Amino acid sequence: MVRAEEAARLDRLESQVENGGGGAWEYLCLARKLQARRSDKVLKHGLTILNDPKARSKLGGEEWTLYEQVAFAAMDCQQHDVAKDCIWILSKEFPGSTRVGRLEGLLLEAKGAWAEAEKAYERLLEDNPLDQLIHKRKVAIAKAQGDLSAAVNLLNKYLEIFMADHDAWRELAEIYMSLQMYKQAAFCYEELILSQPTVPPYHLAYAEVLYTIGGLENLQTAKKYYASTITLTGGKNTRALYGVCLCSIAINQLTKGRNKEEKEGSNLQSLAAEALQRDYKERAPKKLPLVISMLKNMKLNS
Amino acid sequence: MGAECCYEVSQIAYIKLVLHALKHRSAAVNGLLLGRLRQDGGATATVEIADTVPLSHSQIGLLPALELALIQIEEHFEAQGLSVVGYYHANERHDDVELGNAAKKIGDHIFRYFPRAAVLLACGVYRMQLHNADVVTDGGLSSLAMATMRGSLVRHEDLVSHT
Repeated sequence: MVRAEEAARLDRLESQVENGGGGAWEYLCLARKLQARRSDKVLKHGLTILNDPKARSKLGGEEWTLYEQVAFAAMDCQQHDVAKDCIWILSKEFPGSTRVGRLEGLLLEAKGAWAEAEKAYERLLEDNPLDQLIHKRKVAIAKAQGDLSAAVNLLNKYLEIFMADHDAWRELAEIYMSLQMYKQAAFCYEELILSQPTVPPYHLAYAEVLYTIGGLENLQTAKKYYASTITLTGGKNTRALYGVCLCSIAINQLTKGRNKEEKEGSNLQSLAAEALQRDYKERAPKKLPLVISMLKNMKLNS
Repeated sequence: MGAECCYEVSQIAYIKLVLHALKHRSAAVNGLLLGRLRQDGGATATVEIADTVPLSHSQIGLLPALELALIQIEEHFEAQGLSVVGYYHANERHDDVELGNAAKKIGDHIFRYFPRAAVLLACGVYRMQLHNADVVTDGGLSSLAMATMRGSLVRHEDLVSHT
């Protein structure tokens, strides 16, 4: 997950390079580090460096990493010939390498030759049965063909072996959500929160899934997780603030008939409402009247 | 699905929709269609889709964002005489032209409030599928082509980027 400051720095570098201000290599390194998907820019600037023999020789050993990065970008931009050339150069330098073999498999995927890509990955897996990236490519192939249930099965098998792979848990949760299997998605987020309890996006996503499933207990738990997101982000997460308000209304609607002894958290709701108004005042003052009237309506309805 | 109905997509609605999909190329995107119902006299009615509000580009099936959006949109656009008249969706994969379950559920939800609701599935830049009929707009094409060629994806924000 990319932090805001680093994302901002990447954008600044990108506009600097685009306007001819130099710094292409720094931009490419940062994009690679953050795994940002800016394929058209990476391709353009990467190729500029690679096609210039002087610039290429200045890179030294990093030249090969750049070839790999440009190959990825070319495949994302459907420039298969460029990718093929890069991979060919890499395979001459590193014959028999698994890393280059993965790139070849990726090129087959990019062309849509799913069966051949699978065969290529199977061959690589024979020599490297514990290569995480290749296992994940197989999941990607299933997902790209629209076979989500196969993707889910493959991911589950993968996670039995590599339980600590947070990206895989996140991906599984997203696939479950697109299949509307919310309870299973909730389970994935629970795993993520257990292993990384101080990462706010997991709390937020868990709260949203619980809210979507519905039911009084889930709504109450969702409210708690929205609250923990607010704590972890120092009150800066607008979605969590809104989430607290939405949960409060939904809970009040469900407990309408019951005794008012369970009237909990009205403090939390008003605090969240105040924080929202402060936030909008600072960042989007034109929208403040809308938020104020919306919050008023919500209080009336609850 | 009710009486015969015509759907008119305005240029700005169409362009906002496609720009949203183009900005997030590797994700599914969705949003709401805003407009009004025009009775032209006689049997046919026309639903004018005047504007769109982009909703999200990740975790589409989740309720909180959708509910929030519906509340805020109704408040804001009531003054302009616009209301929610439909929903648009663009799938993750370019060859996936089926309306997924999440999209259907949201469409049903909107249908309850507006019986002539339309669901637009974007199957490509120049082609939309309207529930059962095909809608091909050609008014918006030339300006959209210009915008994409210049690569100027304006400051385009959806509800999720905003919050």
